[in-house]
Amino acid sequence: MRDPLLAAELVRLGRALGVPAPRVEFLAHLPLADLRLLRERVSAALHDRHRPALGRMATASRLLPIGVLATIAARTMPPVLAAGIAAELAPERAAELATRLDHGYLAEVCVALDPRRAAVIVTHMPAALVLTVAAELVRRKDHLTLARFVGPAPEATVRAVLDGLTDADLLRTATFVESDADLARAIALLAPSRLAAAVSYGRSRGGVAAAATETLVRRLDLA
Amino acid sequence: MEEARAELRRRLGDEVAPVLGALTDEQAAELRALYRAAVDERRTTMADAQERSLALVPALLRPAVRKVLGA
Repeated sequence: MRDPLLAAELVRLGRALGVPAPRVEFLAHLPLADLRLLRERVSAALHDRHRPALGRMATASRLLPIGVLATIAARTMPPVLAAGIAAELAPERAAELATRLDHGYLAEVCVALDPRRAAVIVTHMPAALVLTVAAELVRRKDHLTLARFVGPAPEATVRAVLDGLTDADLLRTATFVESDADLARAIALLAPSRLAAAVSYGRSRGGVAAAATETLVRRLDLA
Repeated sequence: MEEARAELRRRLGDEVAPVLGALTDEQAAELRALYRAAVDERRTTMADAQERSLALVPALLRPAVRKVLGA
């Protein structure tokens, strides 16, 4: 059974490169730390490459009322572009823009956000909107993006997001939380009985779910 | 295939040199191909979307927006 954290890292690298995880399977022999470093550098390089142009677009967007900007984004911008511009905006304006966007489109923008900027934007988004996007991400089974909400969001929001997850979704999301400290902080918000139920569920399922469960337990011990 | 490693190191930074050193020539070439494809995809997406976005900017504001964009 492959280490769930290594499998998660392959998914992240594939996401950064715009390909499914099996396309980067040839890198699965790398140690987890090396794979993580490679993914971080690939993601940063791809996001940074267009920053000057995106910065100009963000500057130009300040000339427009937020409603007009939201209309233009929804009608003409693929999520990757809207995410790039949002990353260059002040977090308050990016969060305000988020409130004007269709939830499905907003979820896709969150998927494409530079992970280094996602945290600060999420902290400025209204809790209700974070919950709505989280529900959409769960519906899409996008646990990778959902996990990015777990670290930075306010505790009440994180608790509400986690409470809305099934045991299976909770285990999958936990696997994608990068930082052991963020994971421990989030899990500490759950009722002990809820964590026990999720662990019991994972162990009873065997296979990938059991491996994710044992990884979660190990990381909570380490954190 | 040292050139694939050299290009990736130039684009991703010196800190990944040891990681790239652990790849075979074929793996380095495959990673470079994926990276180049991702760069091309983003470049095309950005350029197309910028043009379509400008068409929706209110006419009164368009010259100022074009000026900021350098478009």
